[in-house]
Amino acid sequence: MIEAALKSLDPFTLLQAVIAVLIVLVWSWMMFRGSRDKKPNGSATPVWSLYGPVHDVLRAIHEMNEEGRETNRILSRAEAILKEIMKDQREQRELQT
Amino acid sequence: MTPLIRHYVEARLFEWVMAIGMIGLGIEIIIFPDVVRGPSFMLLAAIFPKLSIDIFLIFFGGLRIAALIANGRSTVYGPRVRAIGALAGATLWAQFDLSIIYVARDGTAPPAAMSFWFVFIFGELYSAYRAAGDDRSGA
Repeated sequence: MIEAALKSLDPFTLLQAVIAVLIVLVWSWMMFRGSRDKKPNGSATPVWSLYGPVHDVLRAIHEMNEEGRETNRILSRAEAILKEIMKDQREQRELQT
Repeated sequence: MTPLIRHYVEARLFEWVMAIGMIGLGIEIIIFPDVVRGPSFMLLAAIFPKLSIDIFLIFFGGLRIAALIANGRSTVYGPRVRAIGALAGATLWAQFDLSIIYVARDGTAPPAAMSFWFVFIFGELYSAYRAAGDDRSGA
């Protein structure tokens, strides 16, 4: 009876079912990978696309630049303060002599 | 108007196009019932009645659009519905492609849509991947 039922099935009908099952399996795998690859910040950029790491590097370079600018600002202020101190000292020395 | 359209459409253009396409095809079948006699529907029409194909297309097309609109508001159910819609799309496009191959197996030139249906399958599977990444249920 099973043999007769199988014989009555067109090979393409079987192929249709096989492909449908295959798509469901691939879909399940994609869902699993999607859940695994998602980042806590909400970005679903795939890890294997290398976009994520490149983006992280660019952000790190930007942060380093910002820190460099901030350091320059602090050093400029320190230089101005030191110049002020030196000027005061020079004036005091001139007054003493 | 433009920023609103961009907000909803830009990141998920493929899903929007596929959802609207599904509804469009459903309406097309209502207006021109002979569409299901085309090579893309050969295998589906042999198994399912025309009405069920029509309901499938309009239901999943509408569901996908609703999920895309709701996606930003519901970060749990929106992506899940989008993923289910992508599965429905991928299965449907695969059946269309298989039907075209079935028709073309005797040497007949296949319709131009063959390669489109084929790449749409991968687009839909990638949409499911993106949707899974958008799911914020914590699972």
